Amino acid sequence: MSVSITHTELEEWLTARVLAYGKVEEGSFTLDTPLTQLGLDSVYALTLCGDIEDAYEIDVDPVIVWDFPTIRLLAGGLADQMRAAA
Amino acid sequence: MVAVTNASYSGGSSDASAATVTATAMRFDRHLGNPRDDASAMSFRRSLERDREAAFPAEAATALDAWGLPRYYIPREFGGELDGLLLPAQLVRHVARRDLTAAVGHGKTFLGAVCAWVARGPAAERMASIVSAGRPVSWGLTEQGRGSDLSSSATTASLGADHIVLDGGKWPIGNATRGRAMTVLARTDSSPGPRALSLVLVDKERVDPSSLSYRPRLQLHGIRGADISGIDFTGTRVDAGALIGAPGQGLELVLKSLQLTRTLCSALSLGSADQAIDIVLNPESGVDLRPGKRTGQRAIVGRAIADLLFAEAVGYTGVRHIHSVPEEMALESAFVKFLVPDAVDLMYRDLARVLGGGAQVIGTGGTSRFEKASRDNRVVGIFDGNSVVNLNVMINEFPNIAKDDGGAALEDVIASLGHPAHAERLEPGRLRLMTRRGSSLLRALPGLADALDDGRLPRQTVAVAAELAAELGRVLDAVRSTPRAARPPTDDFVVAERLALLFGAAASIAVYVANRDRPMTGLWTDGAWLRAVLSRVASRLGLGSSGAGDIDELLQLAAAEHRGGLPVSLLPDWADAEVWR
Amino acid sequence: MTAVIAPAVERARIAGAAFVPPSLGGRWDSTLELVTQLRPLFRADPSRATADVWSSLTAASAVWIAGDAAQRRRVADLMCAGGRIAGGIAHIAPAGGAAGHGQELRAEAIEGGWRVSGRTSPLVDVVGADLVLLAARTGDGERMLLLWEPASVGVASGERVATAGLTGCPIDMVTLTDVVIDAESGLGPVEVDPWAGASIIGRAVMPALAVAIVDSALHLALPYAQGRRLYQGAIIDLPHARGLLAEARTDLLIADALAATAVRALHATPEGAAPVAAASAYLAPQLLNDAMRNLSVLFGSTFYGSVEPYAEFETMVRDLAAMSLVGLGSLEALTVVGEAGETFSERGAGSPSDRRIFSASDELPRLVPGSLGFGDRTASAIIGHFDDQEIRTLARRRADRLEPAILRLAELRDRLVATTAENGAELDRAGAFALLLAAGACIGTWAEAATDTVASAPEWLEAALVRIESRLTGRRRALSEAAADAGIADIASCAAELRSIAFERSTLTTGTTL
Repeated sequence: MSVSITHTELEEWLTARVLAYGKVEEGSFTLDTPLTQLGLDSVYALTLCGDIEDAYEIDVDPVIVWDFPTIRLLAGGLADQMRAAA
Repeated sequence: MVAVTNASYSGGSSDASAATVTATAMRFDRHLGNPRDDASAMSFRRSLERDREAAFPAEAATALDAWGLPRYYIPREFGGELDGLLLPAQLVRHVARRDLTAAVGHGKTFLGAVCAWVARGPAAERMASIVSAGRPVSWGLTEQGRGSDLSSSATTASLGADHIVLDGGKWPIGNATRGRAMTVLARTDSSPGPRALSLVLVDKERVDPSSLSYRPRLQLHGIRGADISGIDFTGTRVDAGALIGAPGQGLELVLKSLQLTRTLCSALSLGSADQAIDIVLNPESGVDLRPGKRTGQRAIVGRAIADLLFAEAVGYTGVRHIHSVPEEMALESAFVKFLVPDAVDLMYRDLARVLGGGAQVIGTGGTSRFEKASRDNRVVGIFDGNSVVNLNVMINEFPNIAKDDGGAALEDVIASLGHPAHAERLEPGRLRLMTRRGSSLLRALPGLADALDDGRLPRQTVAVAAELAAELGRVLDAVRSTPRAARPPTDDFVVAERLALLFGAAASIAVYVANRDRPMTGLWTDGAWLRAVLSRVASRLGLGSSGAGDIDELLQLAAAEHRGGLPVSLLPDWADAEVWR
Repeated sequence: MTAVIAPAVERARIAGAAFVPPSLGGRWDSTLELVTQLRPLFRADPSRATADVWSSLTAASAVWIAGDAAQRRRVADLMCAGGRIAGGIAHIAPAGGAAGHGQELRAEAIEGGWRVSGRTSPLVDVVGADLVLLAARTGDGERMLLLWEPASVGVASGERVATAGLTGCPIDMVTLTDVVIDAESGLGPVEVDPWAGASIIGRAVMPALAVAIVDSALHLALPYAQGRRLYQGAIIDLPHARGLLAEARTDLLIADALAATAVRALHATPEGAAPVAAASAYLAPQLLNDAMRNLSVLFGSTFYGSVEPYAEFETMVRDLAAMSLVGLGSLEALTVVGEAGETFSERGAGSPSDRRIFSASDELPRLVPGSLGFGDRTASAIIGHFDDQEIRTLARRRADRLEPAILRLAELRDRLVATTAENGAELDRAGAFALLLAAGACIGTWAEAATDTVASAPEWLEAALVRIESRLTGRRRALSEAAADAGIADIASCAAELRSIAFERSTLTTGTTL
């Protein structure tokens, strides 16, 4: 069940996830900082995919985290995917 | 009885294809001949001599090429003979039963080529023609000082309009020197991140040889004749068609390919295990296995056989599941690559104890094959993803494993493992970098344990299976309560190991349930193999009793198979007893 | 280049007098002292050290035990004058041929002595030896030991036995044809084949020396882990890698405590020394090989590819494994422990342990080789050491987790005693008793340790008991982060101060840093 969700809400959710992983301090990064610089190396970043699937009840290919490697881009990519699925 | 349907059945007579698989495996065994015969292409004597000299087993490689083994590394859609992966796995095991150095040295070409099969496209055709010409292809992933951290690769490939230029080097790489070509993981984008890497097929026959230089062969602990060396690229120029997959797809292709190769490594471990058992069960080993004599030795050898069969059940499951549940291979390949080499390492350790000083002797008679086989064996657990790397993969999958989805349909789980396999095809498009919900087989453990209770197995075995299922519940609780961490604490590794062993238990039960009413091997008598394997897994988890009686019974059955020239195996009809008797 | 070095004596053989008791003019006073002197040789070159030590130790010991006064005099004089006696190892299937079991050495009684023919057991460092101790079967089926002077009596041909490890330790099988040996050179008949590693002294001493190999390996592993970059850090920063190192250190210390206890028992409680020595001979190599396994996982392809500057580690792995040639890890030793375990099951601990077997500082009585025996009291007392009230009080006072750990082990032991072994599971049971004996040795070592020594710190004992309990229950438990930190800190300080990690903390002779 897809809920209409804004780009901003996705960005906020993703930011919260990144902070929860505990490798960076709040305020030390922006929406355009590459995920690899936020303590999420290539493989570890894939686990975000599972969180996304859980939170938004959609199916995503894990590589989405690689194809959209910043919070802003990822939020955009996810929003597009949700819109397409709706 | 379970009706068997395989989702990837692609037409043609199913019985004919199963018969072809059997016939091919047997034919190969006959072609390689009895390794005790000094005149055979892969005689023990020659492989020991080559090892002593640290020389590549060239005669063996020639024999393998002459028979056409490379065709089985190429999928049918690219002109080869590869349909399901079980057959190449059995063929590689035949080689490994004789000489692991040859199996690794030749089988490496599959690793070098597999990324092209996963990517498909024009590079696949190019790769197919190199492999079918019988030339080795290497997999150039690692670099000096970077170990298993592939994302930090520094070798660069600048993509021009119609060409690609490589600079950098790869080390340590199997067949880097003797190989004709190498699939190179290189940086094609200066920005960091996983999309900065691509795969380039470097065909030495198509580049300026002066742009290549080599680093010397390593002096190896085992597989001493193997070429594990390095290569450096200085402005090495290849044409644009040499790109495998799309730019930036390198790491994705590698990780997906590793799901296949890590699973297939089980064939190497199993062949190695076959050697160990063959040595010990052979009368000239001096090991006294008569009932009533030296019960200690019987128990240890029996347990080693249980370890072999556990490894075989796990390896078989993995190889079959590449076709039936490719979406789960990200996790399952880690289970297989952890469990199988580990079980065989344990076997070698225990059997060395039985052989005592005899395990140390170098020579050509008696037990003297053992020390080479033992050194060779250790390579499988170390290269292409060692135990730590695979445990880390499992830990990264904890959030997926923890998801509760009501369990997979038991019939599907069982159906995926009915033997023989019907026409199977590789569908790389279904591979995922992470699973959705972990492993359906693992989740099915409680249902599988129930399915064992059909009145044909002793109560004790059914109870052990139930205990294992209950343990899964406890371990899943631990999985759910572990916090996410980039550098997982050691406790997470302990949990991951337990999870893996439980997966192995599930695989063993599933293989049993799927085939208990079919004609298999002598080890299936009264479910002997499963009883022993479950006791062993339970004991490795610190549950259950030793199952000494089950283990002893298994030993007797295994010794009878061995006397008949058969391998100690769960699967029938892949080896020719006449060759080995 | 290695972080651990060859001592100044280096390639010089250890003087024969070191293996001769004082009563015969030699310097073998304290076996523990002998071990301390020999360990540097094992740290530097286990192959050469095994060649030097094994023969002298076991061949000479066999003469001290089974020889008459004249024979003891003869061998003692030879060794004190710088001469060498060689001995053998257990018969192993010879390379290149059918098992030579039927070719055992035969001694035919003749006028004035023996005529000897056949193939010897593999002999260690026989070339250039002045005397060789042979084991042979007489026509009556008895086992005799014979002192053979190779130089004076011809007719022998040798066959080199090549081995995977300890490659610098020459092992030869010699074929004798009608060699005549005079009656005065015959010892026995003897019950026990000294070459099956059944020598009580060999079983006590060799594992203690094997500890030195792992000591070297740990010294090599530390700079590797510190230097190896991975994932934007060094391996030593990863919890899993830290666990591997700390576990390896803990297993080394357990082996050290057990081996030292066995060595002291030779002096303090000789009549009961054999089962303790057997426990050490069986279990210490397991622990040491497990430690090497951990380190080989750490080193990964650096181990497998013998990559410099750590190539030596690969040699150490093979050398340690090859110590099975001198009886380490033997199932026969385990059987002896099993018997002692059954005695404990039936009769309990009996009297408390003689504290001297745990103490590094107490004066030990002179070694009397002839009084070494297979009594079960010493072993039983060690297994019963968990129940000692003083120990429990001490544990309670000094560390939170110690007493509960000791109580859990006591409970495991009691449960083991209460059950009977399934048919076929006897070795598992014996193995469990060996582990309990090791635990007792660790507890005793800790309790008797002088203050301010590393042995007196509770952290190593806690870690040791975790490792032992894991092996007993089969439920693997990782060391806590704090325990791993403490273990690594200890390895690092030993490296910095150039000291061995084994409890003696002896200074490594010179230092080479990478």
